[in-house]
Amino acid sequence: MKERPAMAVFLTRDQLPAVLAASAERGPTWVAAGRGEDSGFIPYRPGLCLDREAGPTRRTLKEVFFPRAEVLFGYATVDGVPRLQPAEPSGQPMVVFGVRPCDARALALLDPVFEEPPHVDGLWAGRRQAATLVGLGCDRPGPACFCPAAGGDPLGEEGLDVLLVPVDGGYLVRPLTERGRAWTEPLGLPPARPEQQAAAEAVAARARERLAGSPPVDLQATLARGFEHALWDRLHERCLGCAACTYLCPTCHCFDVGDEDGRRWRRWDSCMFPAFTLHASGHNPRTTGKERMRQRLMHKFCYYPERRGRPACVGCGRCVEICPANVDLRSVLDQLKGVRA
Amino acid sequence: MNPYLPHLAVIQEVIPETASQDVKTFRVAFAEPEVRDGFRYEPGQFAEVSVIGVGEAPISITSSPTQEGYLEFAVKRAGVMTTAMHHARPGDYLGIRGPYGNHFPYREMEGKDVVFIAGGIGLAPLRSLITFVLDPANRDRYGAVSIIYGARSPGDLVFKWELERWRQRDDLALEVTVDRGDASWQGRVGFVPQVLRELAPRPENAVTVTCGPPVMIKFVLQDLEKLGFTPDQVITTLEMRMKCGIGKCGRCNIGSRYVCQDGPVFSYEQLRQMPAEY
Repeated sequence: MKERPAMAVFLTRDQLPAVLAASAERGPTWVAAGRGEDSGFIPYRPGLCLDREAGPTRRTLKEVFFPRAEVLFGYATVDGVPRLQPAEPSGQPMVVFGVRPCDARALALLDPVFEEPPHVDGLWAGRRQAATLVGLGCDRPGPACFCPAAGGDPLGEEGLDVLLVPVDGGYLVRPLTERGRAWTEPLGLPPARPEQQAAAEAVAARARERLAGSPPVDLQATLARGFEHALWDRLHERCLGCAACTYLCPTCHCFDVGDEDGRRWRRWDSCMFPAFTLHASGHNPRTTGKERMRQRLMHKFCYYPERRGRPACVGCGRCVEICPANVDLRSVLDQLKGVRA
Repeated sequence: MNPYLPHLAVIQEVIPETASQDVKTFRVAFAEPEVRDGFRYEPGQFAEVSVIGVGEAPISITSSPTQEGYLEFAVKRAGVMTTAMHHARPGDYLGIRGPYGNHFPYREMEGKDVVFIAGGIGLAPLRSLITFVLDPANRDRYGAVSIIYGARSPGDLVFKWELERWRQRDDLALEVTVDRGDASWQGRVGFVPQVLRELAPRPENAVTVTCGPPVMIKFVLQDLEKLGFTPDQVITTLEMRMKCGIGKCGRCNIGSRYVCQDGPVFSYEQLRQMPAEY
């Protein structure tokens, strides 16, 4: 995807609303909007703009590509014969605006899950192929953020087509892919001046400094030997099993499938629920919160890296912020460093 | 590409297996001729079977690829979907997608004696391989074939019609046992592991394939080890709750292995290296 670095251009703050409006006229446009609890990716409507003072949105980018509930196919019986109507993505080009680098990396971590041959998930792949991701670098990471520890960066480029770096008066605009150039060029923006480039570097340095000291999440080798460790017996005690962390995790992708109202649906599901692995026979391989929390953590920091080479965590900190029992993944990871069978 | 869309198949025959009819075998054929001709599978693979409007479940294909034109699924009535399936009749439609998963290592097994050890409905996935091995086109590739099959009671034995056919062959040693007999039962009484110890198959140049309830598997594995079988000579097939069948819904993993893609067939050697979470 990545080719020659294109010249950075500059977008002033005042120009941003017009850019969004123009994008929405060409096709579906999603905007990272709102603040705190209410924030998420919202289809553009006049007046909607990203809030550059806000941190990462509470709801994640994955909802745009993997909705909470979606139809896999419709069914009806005609003259005694079932007729199936498969869902297909529209394929209409769309733009997602204000994507934080952690969320873009999360999509890159999910791509191999949904797109690995031979079973390519066309619903996911169709939306991914239709999307231009316009990123927004983080100039002020939140208190729960730990992306560098997870291999990311507040100005990371992985998975993005364009990166906007917020600086005084506007945004340094860096097209990163061919698709990103196709989005940027029609805007006719002036090249960024050297002092604007330098300001962007300073933003990056400040953000990285704020994030220094995050706990590393590279625990694969340790955890691979720690499945039976006694720490698991108490790590889960505080967890209520509400599954909020999995719903707001940008890399969690578990789903359920069921028939309702003439349609077969898939809906988000969670490994934190007891029924998730319950067999029809009544047998359940993960009977208590201990096994379920171990599964969630092992999947992200041991099993996924075994299969794909890196952890399935981007350090966005959402699970830390929303846990009603104050389970802090960073401290859990810190304890897991000591796990040795 | 929508990998969740099943093909329609018509039920040709429903065979009640157990006395209580809690297990039935469904013989089905795809409605579209091109699907029927193009559906290729290996012994040990499974399919996602739908009762459209009710739901979907992963079911092992109990027929063998040597049997062309139809598929068979032996299904125990356990949950919502399998109960609805048990209400289906010949002529009704099912949805089928697959085949999924890996398969029994039948090529690596060539030239060896094969010992099948099954309990209850655990015979269903093994039957695909048994039929494949016994097929005239394949039989010469394998050494002595023996089957130890057990169920709780005579009424719980599945594939009785198939057991009769196997019994009449002279190139196959079949031992059927039940935990508890009844007034009319003339055969063996005893648990599968007991029969295994008594028959004591030789491990030299042999492979065993086993499937059954967890408690049976546990003792069978212990006894096979005592008989001198090494973990790589023991093959089994697992079941796990699944939704997608294609490695995406995140439900059937044991450690980093997905039963739907890396399994359902594993050697005991592989299982020993996985967390005991199944």
